[in-house]
Amino acid sequence: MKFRKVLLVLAVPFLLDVASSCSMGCDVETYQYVHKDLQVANLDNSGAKAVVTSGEVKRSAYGIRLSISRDAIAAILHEPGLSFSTKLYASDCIENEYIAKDSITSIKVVSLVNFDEEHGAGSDVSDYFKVGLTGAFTALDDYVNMYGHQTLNLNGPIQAHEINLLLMTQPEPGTYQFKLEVTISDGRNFEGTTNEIELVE
Amino acid sequence: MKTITFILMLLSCTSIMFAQDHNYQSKITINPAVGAIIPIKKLFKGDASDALIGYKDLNFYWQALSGSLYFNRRFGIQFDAQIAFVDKVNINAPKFQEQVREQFGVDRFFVAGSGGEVWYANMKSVARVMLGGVYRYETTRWFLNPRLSVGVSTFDIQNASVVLKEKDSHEFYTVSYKRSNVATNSFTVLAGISTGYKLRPRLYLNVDLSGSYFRPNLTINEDVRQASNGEMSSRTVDYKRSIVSINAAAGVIIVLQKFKEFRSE
Repeated sequence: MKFRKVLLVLAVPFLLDVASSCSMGCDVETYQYVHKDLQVANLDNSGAKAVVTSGEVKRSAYGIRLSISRDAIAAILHEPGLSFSTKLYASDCIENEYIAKDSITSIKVVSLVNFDEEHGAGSDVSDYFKVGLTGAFTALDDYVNMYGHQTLNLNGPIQAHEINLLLMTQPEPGTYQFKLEVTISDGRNFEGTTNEIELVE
Repeated sequence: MKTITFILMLLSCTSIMFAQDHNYQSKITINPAVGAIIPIKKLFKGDASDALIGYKDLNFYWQALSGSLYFNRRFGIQFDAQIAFVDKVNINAPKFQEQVREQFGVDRFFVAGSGGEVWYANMKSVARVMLGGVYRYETTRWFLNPRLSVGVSTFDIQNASVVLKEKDSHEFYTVSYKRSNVATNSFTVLAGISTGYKLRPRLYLNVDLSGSYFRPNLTINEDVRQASNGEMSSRTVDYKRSIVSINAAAGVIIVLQKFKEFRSE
């Protein structure tokens, strides 16, 4: 009888550890990332979803996709806890946390051709673009304030930050080209230029 | 032919059990049944918001809790609770989203997703609870019970929203449906007649036919918000027409208790 009691007392920590492994055990791998470079493409938003295009686009449905790649640069190590058992994970528990080391501080759109009477070639036309989210539009400055510095929780490797800039003011039909300038908090600047695009009625 | 002969033989055999007059003996009965509600005037009007109401014009129901209490040979009261089976909008609701799109124009819009409202997925609801007076007329083997009942018809309404994207444009429209009144109970009047055959002294076959009337007072507000400028337009969808339907059910009547003077039988 005494032997059973001793065995039970010894087993308590092990049982608690197994229980915590099953219910709470969710180790998160944490990384730091930096913004790396910029890709831009013309967008056709006339359908259900915006798609990258190289053909002509209706001027009411034109946009630019910015793809700012990100690179995980360092893993942040956690002190391992004392455990007797292997952690058991649910499938939705496999998650990596990515913390930004730098942040996007500004996004600027410059027209390389005459956009309208007030905006000649080389003019800043950022105010004509908004970021499209489902059911809402956000000004570029507001978007940068909200999402310029992100902590991401992902199930796989880190992905590029994709932003759809939608042209909200329709220009006259014609050929257009835009340059994108993205400023990073550590002083770096990324630039990308769209291919020439024919905006039609 | 064989089946008909068998049924006639069965009825003849059971009639032997009623050599003694068993009329007007039951005091408490339970009346489980299944049935169909056949609409004469319909609630739905072909609007996308129809899908948010937990009701079906043509529906099947289970008379889960039903019983009668007789005060004397002729008169008693009857209580009925019917559970109807309804399909509700579920959390994905692609069918509902497509109905909204059709209403606004499939040539002009795409479905961009749901607007984040919580959508429930209840699969059944109590459709009707009734209480009324019942009169009975019985022969040795047959019975006929006309009744008049009042009660409530009840059903849920859900809130939902759908985001539509305009074709050849960046524009989004968020279409929101919100019920304006929570109370969805409607006063209901029902007149019906039960008839059937006494299989055993305590077990009757029962066929129930009834007509019911209720007038719901439901309003769903449809708000359409344009994303680019925040402009809002609203519309009210009323469900206030009188609903008349015929209910046909079949089941059994089980005699739980007889009047004191017959309890030894």
